[in-house]
Amino acid sequence: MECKRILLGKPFVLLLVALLLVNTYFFVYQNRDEETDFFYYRDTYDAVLTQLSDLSFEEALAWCEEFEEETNQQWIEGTWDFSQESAIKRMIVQQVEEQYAHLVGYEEYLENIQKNAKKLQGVSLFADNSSFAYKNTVKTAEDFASLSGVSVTAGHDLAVTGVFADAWTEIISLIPIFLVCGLFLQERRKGLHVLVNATPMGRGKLAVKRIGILFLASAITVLVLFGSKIFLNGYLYRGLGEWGRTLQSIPMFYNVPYSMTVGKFWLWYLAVKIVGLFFAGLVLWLIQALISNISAAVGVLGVVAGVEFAFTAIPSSSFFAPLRYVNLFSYINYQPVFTRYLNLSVFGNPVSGNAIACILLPILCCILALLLVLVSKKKYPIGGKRRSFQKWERFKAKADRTFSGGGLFVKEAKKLLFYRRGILVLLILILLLTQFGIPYRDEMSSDLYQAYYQEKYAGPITEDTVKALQEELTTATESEQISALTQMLSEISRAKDGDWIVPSEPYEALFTVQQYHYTVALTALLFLSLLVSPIASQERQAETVTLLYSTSGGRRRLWLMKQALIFSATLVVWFLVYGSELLRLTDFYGNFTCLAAPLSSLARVSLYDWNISLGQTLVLLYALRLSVLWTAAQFCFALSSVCKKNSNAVILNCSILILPAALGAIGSSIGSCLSMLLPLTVIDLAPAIFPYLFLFVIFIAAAALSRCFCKIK
Amino acid sequence: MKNGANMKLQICQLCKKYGSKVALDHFSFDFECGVYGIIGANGAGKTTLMNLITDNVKRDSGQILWDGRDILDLGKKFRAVVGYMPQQSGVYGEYSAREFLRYIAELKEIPRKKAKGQIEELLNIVNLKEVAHKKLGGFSGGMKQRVLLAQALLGEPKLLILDEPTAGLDPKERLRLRNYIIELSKDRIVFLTTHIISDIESTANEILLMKNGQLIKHGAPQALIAEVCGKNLDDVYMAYLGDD
Repeated sequence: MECKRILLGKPFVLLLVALLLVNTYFFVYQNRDEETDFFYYRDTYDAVLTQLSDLSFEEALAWCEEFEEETNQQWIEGTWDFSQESAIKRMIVQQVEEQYAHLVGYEEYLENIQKNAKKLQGVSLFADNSSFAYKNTVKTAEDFASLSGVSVTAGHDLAVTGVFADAWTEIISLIPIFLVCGLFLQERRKGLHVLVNATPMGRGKLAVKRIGILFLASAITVLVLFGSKIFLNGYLYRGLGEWGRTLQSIPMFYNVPYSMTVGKFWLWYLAVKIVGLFFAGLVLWLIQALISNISAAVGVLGVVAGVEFAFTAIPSSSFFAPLRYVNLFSYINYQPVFTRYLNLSVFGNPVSGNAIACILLPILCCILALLLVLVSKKKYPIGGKRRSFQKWERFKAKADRTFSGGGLFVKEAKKLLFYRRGILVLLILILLLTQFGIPYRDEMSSDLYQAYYQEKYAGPITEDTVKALQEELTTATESEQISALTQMLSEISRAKDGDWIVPSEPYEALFTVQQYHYTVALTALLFLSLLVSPIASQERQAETVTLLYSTSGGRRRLWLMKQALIFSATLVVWFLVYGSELLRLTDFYGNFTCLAAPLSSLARVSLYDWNISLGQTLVLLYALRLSVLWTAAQFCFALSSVCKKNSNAVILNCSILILPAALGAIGSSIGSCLSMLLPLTVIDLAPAIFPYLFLFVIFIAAAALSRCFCKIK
Repeated sequence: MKNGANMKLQICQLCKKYGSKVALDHFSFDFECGVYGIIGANGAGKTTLMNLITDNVKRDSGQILWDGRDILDLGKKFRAVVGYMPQQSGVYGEYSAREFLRYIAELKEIPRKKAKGQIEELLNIVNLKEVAHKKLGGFSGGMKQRVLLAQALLGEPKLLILDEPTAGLDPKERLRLRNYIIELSKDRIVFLTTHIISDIESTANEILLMKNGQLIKHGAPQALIAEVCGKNLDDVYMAYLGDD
């Protein structure tokens, strides 16, 4: 019954389906993000590997090196065709070259480990055979000795490594477990805890059953989310039939001392992920079971997570280094633990970090499960008033007198952020933003030189600059240097009067139309919608509308405060999403300089034909994004005003605002037209004014609608 | 706005329909300081009348005048003198009682310093001082009623509208509340609707009997009881509304 309620219940099933879609979306389109045409990339990768499959490793490596040499020559001679296809092939060959270099050198790498071990044992520091250093060198040699003679083979490495390209799945896999733990405690929220506790099966036995359910939920979650990712990645990169390859064939796993095939690795990986997720669930459930107050439980969970995260920074040489491996975060993101070969000192003996993590994981799970059964058996649903409790009550009363003040805006903000869990939405957004990549730009080999010369000659184009560049060209020796200067001079010859030489990398990345911008825009819309959705429906859900509207400030003033709040929420989301974008962008490509230069100075970016400066363009870009987000928030407010429940508001907003945007982001033109995705990216619609005028009309209509609903019943 | 005994609420030919159902049918009455008990069966139009007075429902025709001016023209100024305790109103379960009252005080635009003092005083009056820091979600029905009553009293309203204020209260609390309402009615108009007729009998200066959206009878409790030769208001109820 309990298993059916939780695992076959609507919330779990729907959430899993939704997460599967989100996960697939992120996976497929994050992959596509890197290149404009994923399938061309994949087919070329496959074709190169097929072409090399009949050659020995050395011959294949030589072919790759020859190809690279040839393309370099084309650069020098100026016969390089600058097509995207050529650039992709060149990139793939470089990647395959790395693969073959690893295959050619693997045997030697293993031999070197043995040689180094013998050498190190001769050094005085490692000579003491009771020391950890000595034992570690012996163990390392022994571990890798078992791998000698293992046959490494060439294959579609991306079919394996692609799974680890991002950590989205690791993060979202926690959500169903959070839900299951929440469902376990549902009776507490519904006031049924006393009833359940009074039944013969309602204590220890129920806890045991629920532990089983949590394990099943972990297994289902891992199999659905990670299993689908592994299969999809294997299918997309045509590597599904290669699971018999030795794991060490793939450069990423060259440090792994266990002899296993790719297929066995996937089984092991999924098993650890299942138990790891189960462990995370047990920790969460135990905290919730021990602490009845939800806010306090969330606080403790935050502290536990913070401490665990801090442990991941413990140096390997520290006595506490095992805590880095026996750690929630290591189990959530297991791949770095597995691929890194590191022995830790456990009572002076070297033990592999991976082994520590994997051996202790089931033990910890058993301990936690036992504790949970004990807590379920012994903890009374109605707590006695102990001294500590009374002190806590006194503290709460004092805090309530002190902190329940503040103006209407503060109170509304508190309602949205703390009572409607808006703060959680923002925290998840921040967490997701840390996983975001950077927008790409079409890279060329001569870019480093070009960036160097752009930096050196940044400023208005004058005759002196042209002369200086020509002089640089006459003295240039390297092909890429010549190519960069030639291109710059060619661009200068086409430049208008008053144009500048601008270090263009960050601008190019920002103004290139690409998948990245859709993903960012969709994220901003989604989180803003989740944050703002309950803004008006919360009053209807709490059935306080009549009461509030009968007060003097309950109509216009309350509506104005809510308007101020949605603008603030928009500002926060905009700042987080696009502020972090600027941070990542400038961190990778360097600062935006030459802000006074005219927009036409950017030769490779011909999106706009306006007579404005680069600085003004940036301000306009981000101001437009802010206004589109504000319109979206206004729209959410209007829809929220007609909903009687917060969940309905969220569903309605997601259906009308997010679904078309998500469809647009994956390439549907109808979705793009019906959503705010393109106006939010701005660059897709840069010269067009009409969409923004249309959005302005929507803004006014939405504001009028929300005002209308806040006027009278 | 006038203070004290001179204030007057006049309702003239007020009508309201919900589709084809007549909720209020040409209701007219003049109210001055005192407690007015409104009695009627379910669906008689009591709550509609209260919602119309608080401008929570759009009227079809008629007028509601406060000191001679239509409340729709007065708008916010009128709502500033109203204290309303709606029937079956919800509360924010996450708020503490004190926080909820502070929130309502903000909406009533009561200066913060003044509101703080009033809130503590009202928490004492409704006997919730000890639990004022606790979340409303954990309150019993009676406790929530007392919080709702306290919010209605915030800002010393001149017109107090209490829709079923004693529902869910224990006898001791009901007695306290009744006495407090009598005290309040000295310088304000108090509307009171309840199904507990004894509460009205002991509190109201005037009783209004409503049936099918119409005012069918009004008068002082003792006069009405005498008119039907009854012992108490239950007899009056049965005499005029018993067939409902």
